[in-house]
Amino acid sequence: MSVTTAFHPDQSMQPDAAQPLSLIAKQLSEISRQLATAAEGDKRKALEQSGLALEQMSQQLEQDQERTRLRRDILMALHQRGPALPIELAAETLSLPEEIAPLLEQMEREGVITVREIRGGQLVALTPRGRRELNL
Amino acid sequence: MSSQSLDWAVFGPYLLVFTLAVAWALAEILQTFRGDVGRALRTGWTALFVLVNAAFAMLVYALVQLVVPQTSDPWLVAFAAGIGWQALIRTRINLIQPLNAETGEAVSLSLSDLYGRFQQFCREQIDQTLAVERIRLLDDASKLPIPDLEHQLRLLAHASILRSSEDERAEKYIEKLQKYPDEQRALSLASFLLRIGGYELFNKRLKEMKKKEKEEKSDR
Repeated sequence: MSVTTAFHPDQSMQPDAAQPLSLIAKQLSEISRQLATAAEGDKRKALEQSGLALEQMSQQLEQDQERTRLRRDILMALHQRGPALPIELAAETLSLPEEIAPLLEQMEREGVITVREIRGGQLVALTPRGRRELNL
Repeated sequence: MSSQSLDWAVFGPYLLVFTLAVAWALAEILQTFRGDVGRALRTGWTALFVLVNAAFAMLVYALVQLVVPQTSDPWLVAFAAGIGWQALIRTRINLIQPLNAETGEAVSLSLSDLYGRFQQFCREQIDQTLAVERIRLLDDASKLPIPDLEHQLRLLAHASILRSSEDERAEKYIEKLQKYPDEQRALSLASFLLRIGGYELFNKRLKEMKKKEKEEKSDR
């Protein structure tokens, strides 16, 4: 028995869809582990591996869900309040600047936001592509 | 005809064009900076944007005056120029259009592109000015005692229209920040305060907090 861990949900995946999937993966992982305790030999090993893989998948889905939520909150904040400082975006999403920094870099690479250097900091703004992502 | 009425007949239509152009430019500023209109209007870049708009509108009116017959009503021409100028700057004019479209691109004069770039430039400068003011405010706020900032945050969140959700969010954020260094906590709390209170209110509160802190120090 084998379960692939190469699962990369689409970035546009709705957090609503990721949450039940994550729960299912978590429960399957539990079931797999319980079955492993009753099994022996290769079967036990395979079930343990499956349980581990499913747990990893569940964690990955949770992280992706959180990332998707954060991404949407950032885009929404920029749309509603206009260009913002990274620390303002961090406060808006109840995070810290260093927590959102990698996501902001990724979003800039994807062209949904622009990051401009200004006196004393950086200014993040929404691009037309970012506006499209929000379906506006 | 007296010289006063002659002046009004000559300059009145210019004033009409000027007023229309200013109103148009201000409407664009109001629409773009809905969240911070007052401060946006006070920046020098807004003045530049409005004045350049008005100056070009009056130039167009002066050029139109040279072309149209003197018998035309100057007020009507001024009104048409004031409104027409706004349409003109949003237009792409093809100066030369090749007979066969595949042989090459049309030589075009895109006033819309030029105006768009000018508009974008002014918007970026206004954004930057507003952001620099916010950075200064956050810097000032980060020097205040953390309990004071937390107290202000709870007060503002409690007074918010979306009270329950803001209350919850504020408490969650205060709790999350507990484990971080003071400077980072103060900055994050100040950013949150700025977010819910807005610049003007936060600035006012900040002044009050500084005053209170000063009084407390002098009492000791």
